[in-house]
Formats: sequence, C-alpha cells, structure tokens
Amino acid sequence: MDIKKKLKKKAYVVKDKCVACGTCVKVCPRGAIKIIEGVFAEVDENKCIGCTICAKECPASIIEMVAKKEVVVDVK
Amino acid sequence: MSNKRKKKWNDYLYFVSILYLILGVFNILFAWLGLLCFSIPLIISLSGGGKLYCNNYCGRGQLLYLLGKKFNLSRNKPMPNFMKSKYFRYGFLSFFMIMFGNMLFNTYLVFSGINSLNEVVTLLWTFKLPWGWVNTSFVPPGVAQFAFGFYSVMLTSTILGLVTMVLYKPRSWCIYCPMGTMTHGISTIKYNNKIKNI
Repeated sequence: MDIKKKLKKKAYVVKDKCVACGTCVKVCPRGAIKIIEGVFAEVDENKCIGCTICAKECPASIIEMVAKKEVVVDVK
Repeated sequence: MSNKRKKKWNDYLYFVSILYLILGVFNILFAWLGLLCFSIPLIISLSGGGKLYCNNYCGRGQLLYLLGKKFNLSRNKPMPNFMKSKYFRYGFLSFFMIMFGNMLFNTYLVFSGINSLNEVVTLLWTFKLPWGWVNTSFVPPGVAQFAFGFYSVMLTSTILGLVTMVLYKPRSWCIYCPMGTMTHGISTIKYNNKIKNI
C-alpha cells in the first residue's frame, strides 16, 4: 500500500474579531460550530470536515481554513 | 453538500420583519411593536442568554440572508476592514443612540404640548417622507409621534441593512447592528467576569 500524509484543513474562528452573529452555526452541515456565551464562535475540530461553507458565509470574513490535522491517505 | 437541517418555527421569523414594515404603512401605530426587537435581545443577554436572539430569533438577519443568498441579491464580497472594527461598531452604536435620544426628545416635546404632531417618517435621519394618511387622533399626539420616530429608526436600519447586504455579504448588517453590538458587549463583559472568577 502506497500511503501519503496530508494535512487536512479545518475552520478556525479568529475569536477577537467574531461578533457571534451565528451565521456560521446555521450553515454548517455538520453542526460543528457553537456560539460560546454570545461572545465568539468555536469550531469542533473533530466534527469539522473542512468544507469552507462557514468561511464563505461569515459576514466578517474572519473564519480561516487552517491546516490542522494530519491524515493518512491511501494513494494506491 | 447542502444543509439538510430540519426547519423550525423560528426559521420563518423573516416573515415578522416584513409584516412589521407593511403594518407600519397601513397604521403607523404598529411601529410600537418594534420595541420588542429592542427589549427582547437586551433582556436575553442581560439574563445570561448571550446572543440567542441574534442567533435564532432575529427576523431581520433571516430576511437579509434570504434576500442575499436565496434570491442572490448579494455581491458576496468581504466588508471593508474599517466597518468590522470595534471603533466603527461602537461609533455607529453611539450615533444610533444619539439619534434615538433625539427622537425621544422630540416625542417628549409633543407629549408636553410644546410641539405639535409631525406626521413624517425620516429616512436615514435626513429625508422626510410625508406619512399623513393615517388617522392617529384616537391616541395622544405623543404616542403617535413616538410611532413615527420609531418607524423611522426601523426603516432606516432596514435600508442600511439592505444596502450592505447588496454590497457585501448577506448578513453584513449583523456586524454593525447596534442591538448586536450592545448584546455582544453585555455578553463579553459577563464572559470576562466569569473567567476572572474561575
């Protein structure tokens, strides 16, 4: 088996700039985002599939896609 | 990949936002109902509910999203950085509150009989639209004056929301919405106090 290690991108919210409007929560297909006490949004990295929908929808454009998790991909 | 989340009753609150603006055309006194949009978010955030109102029950946010996303009316471009800054958000909140105070003072002048009822809706704090087709004589003039003032505030903010929805992303209004800024400020203070006490 020919395997390759690849970094998977996950959504990351820049907390100090987030106004907690909740747009990302509504559009996330995996329910991976939560608003913490009405202050900022937080992404559950285990649930995030890196689809970028939240990053595109965020009105403040403060959700970044960050290479977070190393995944093993079978390239056979 | 589509969002298959089952719709709930509160996903249709954009209808309330539209209805509010329509009712105001038929009878300006319905504008008083807009006080709910002011009081509910504040009560929720003061009682520790954070931005639950913005996240789940804001009809205007839903309306802007519907028009921008489903009706494709938004350019979907990022907002300029200055509009996202704290200075702009709190500056806009201050300006909004000053104009709101000015409206309350005008209402007071009519209540106390110093001024007579002015049947106009003021758009963008400047343009005066004659709105005198409704009989408001069955209520004190001050009550009617507040309705005209409040409807002006609601219509003006809707227009600003629509303009930024078209120019930037659908819910751009949510970034500088004065109610959102207030509830976010309250939630932040509460959150910071909570962290300090741990």
